[in-house]
Amino acid sequence: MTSAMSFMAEAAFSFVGTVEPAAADTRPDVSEGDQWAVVRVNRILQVPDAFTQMAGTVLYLRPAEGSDLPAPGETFTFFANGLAFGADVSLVEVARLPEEELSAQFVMGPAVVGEDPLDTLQRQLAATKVRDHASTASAVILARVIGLERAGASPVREHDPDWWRATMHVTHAERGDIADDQEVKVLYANSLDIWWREAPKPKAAQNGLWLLHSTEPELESLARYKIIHAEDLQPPQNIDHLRQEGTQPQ
Amino acid sequence: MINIVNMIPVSLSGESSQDSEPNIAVNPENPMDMVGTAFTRAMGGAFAPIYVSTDGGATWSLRNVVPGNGSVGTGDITVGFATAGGVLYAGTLNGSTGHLQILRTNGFTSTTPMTVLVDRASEDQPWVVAGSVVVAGLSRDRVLVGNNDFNQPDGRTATIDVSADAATAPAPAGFGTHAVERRATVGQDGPPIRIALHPSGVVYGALQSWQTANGSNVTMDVVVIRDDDWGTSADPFSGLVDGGDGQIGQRVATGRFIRFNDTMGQERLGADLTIAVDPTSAGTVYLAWCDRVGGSSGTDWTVHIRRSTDSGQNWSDDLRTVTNAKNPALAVNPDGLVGFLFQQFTGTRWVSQLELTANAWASPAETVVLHAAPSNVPARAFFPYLGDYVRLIAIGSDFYGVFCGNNTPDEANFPSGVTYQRFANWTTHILLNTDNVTPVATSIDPFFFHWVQPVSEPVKSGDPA
Repeated sequence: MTSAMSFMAEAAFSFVGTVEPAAADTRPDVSEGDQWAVVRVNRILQVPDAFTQMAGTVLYLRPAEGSDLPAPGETFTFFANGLAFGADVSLVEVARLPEEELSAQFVMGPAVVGEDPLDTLQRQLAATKVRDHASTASAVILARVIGLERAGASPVREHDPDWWRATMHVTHAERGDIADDQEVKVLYANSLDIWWREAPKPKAAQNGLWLLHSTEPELESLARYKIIHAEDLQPPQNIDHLRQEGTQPQ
Repeated sequence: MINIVNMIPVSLSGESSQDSEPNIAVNPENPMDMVGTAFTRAMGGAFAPIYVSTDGGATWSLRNVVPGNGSVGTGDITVGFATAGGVLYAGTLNGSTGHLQILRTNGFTSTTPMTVLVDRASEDQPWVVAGSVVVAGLSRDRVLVGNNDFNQPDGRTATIDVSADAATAPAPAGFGTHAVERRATVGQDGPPIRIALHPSGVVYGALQSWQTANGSNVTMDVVVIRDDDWGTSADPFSGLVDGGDGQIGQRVATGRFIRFNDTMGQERLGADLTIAVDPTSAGTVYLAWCDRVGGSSGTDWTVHIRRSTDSGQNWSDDLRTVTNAKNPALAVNPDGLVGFLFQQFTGTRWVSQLELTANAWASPAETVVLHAAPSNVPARAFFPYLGDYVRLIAIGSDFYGVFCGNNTPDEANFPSGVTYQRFANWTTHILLNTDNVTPVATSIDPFFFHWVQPVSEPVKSGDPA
């Protein structure tokens, strides 16, 4: 993983920005701390959905611990996370790279002809995330959902997972103690509670790449595997991400 | 007079998340200082946000200071300021681990993360109440946190954590855990354990004692407990003994039916409870809860309000009922005025209302409609849609509260008026992004309100009688 990819994985905000002179009366609406850079956003690389209109705006940046305050006129690729939001946006820096270094990293990885270098970087980052998460899985399968049933009692706690069990027909077992053409039982959290909102909820006849995790001893009687992370369900074509680092999706 | 403010700051004009389940703390020493909470995204990092205001709620901004940042920020969260000293306390379900955490900061506007005082797994719904008392010339923060602790033996899960001096000591800052359910249960109590604190040190607690369960069909007793020394008596919270079964904890209602996790207007039901004490009379206490009057064949969700004037031993019949409503919140001001905040489902709309009564509903209360908006927009992203609770606080004669609802910028939805910080077009009823041009989808936002006691006009010489 390149440093840019590593920083993008750690930071919600990635953007190219130029440091502006801070007017004497220009302060973020955060009360404490003297070290603030005023940064105008030139170009967005990655931001939360709520900040898609951020290009051209000015924000406040608290340098990463141990980093110097960037000087007015300097342009960097900044990687940062949210700190305070009011009339202004205040971020805390994760890292910064010289703009030209980021450009160099754009062309290091394999790219699709005609693809925007940023899209290439984001695609590589997504592939890395899938590989990293798959490395924690007990089994990885391509499978189709052929049955759904409740696996536990009705939930009586607000944050109960409401365990249901999916029966999956395995079309291809990529990893784990599962054979092709086998049927496998998988627990999933059917609860719509905030705690389980991102957990995959298989649908009848759904095909997917499933990253299965072994159940804890207290759940083994319900099923051998479970899926609880948003990343546990992937489009089937993402299996290429697992086979060869840097391989392009089909 | 009432002021209502959408709490989403202007820099978050582009957000369209389900910012549900609000809570609020107002600093009694300086009511211009406030903290709000909701399920609001942190936009990166390891800490979830709180909302802060230093101008009486006119404007709000976010600080990412709550440990644990999940997919929508923190899990359950409530907050409370001590009476003196300005220390803020929070009870959360950590957004990353799900553990209950009790947190503290002595600088509520700071971007320094809050200090973790208590961390415990298998928990639900921490509810923070704080006060201060002078002991030997020094102010001590008394902090109580109601919670549903599934670690408690025998399914008696209703619990209150208490510290008699929480302001400065290192973790756990004197916090100790007290099981407050004394009866047998079906394996657990209901999620809400609520607390009302009187300045004299009298503490009331309310819990839902689950007595039978068949799947999601539950019958509960609504129970009130009391401690007369800030929750620090030798046998804490044993001040009320039920006249019927001789057990600790006075049952205010018994055998009440609920269908846990049933739904109404895209929202889940099953756990509504609030308690408030008159600040001028420690013996006068109000209680509200919800149940299904129609039983297992019913479809209603009904708020009941009752009152005790003898320190929780005997209770009135229902003073007020509201059909198909949830999230009751009660508060009493020093004038004896009772505030009652709730959200009612009409079949097509959620209507958030504040009732005010000086005679315990002997005559119709003054009603302020805060918000009335379609209940089918936006589509639910998760439970809770609006929140499993709201909060109402009395500071001086004023009431401060929070609720969540559909944020469509339509004056018809706000009959008492409203102020938005985020960009919106009130003619086309469309939210706008930070460029004040690009449309943003309707979502659920937290709303703050402040009700101010009207000032009577002095009678001038020569005025007609």
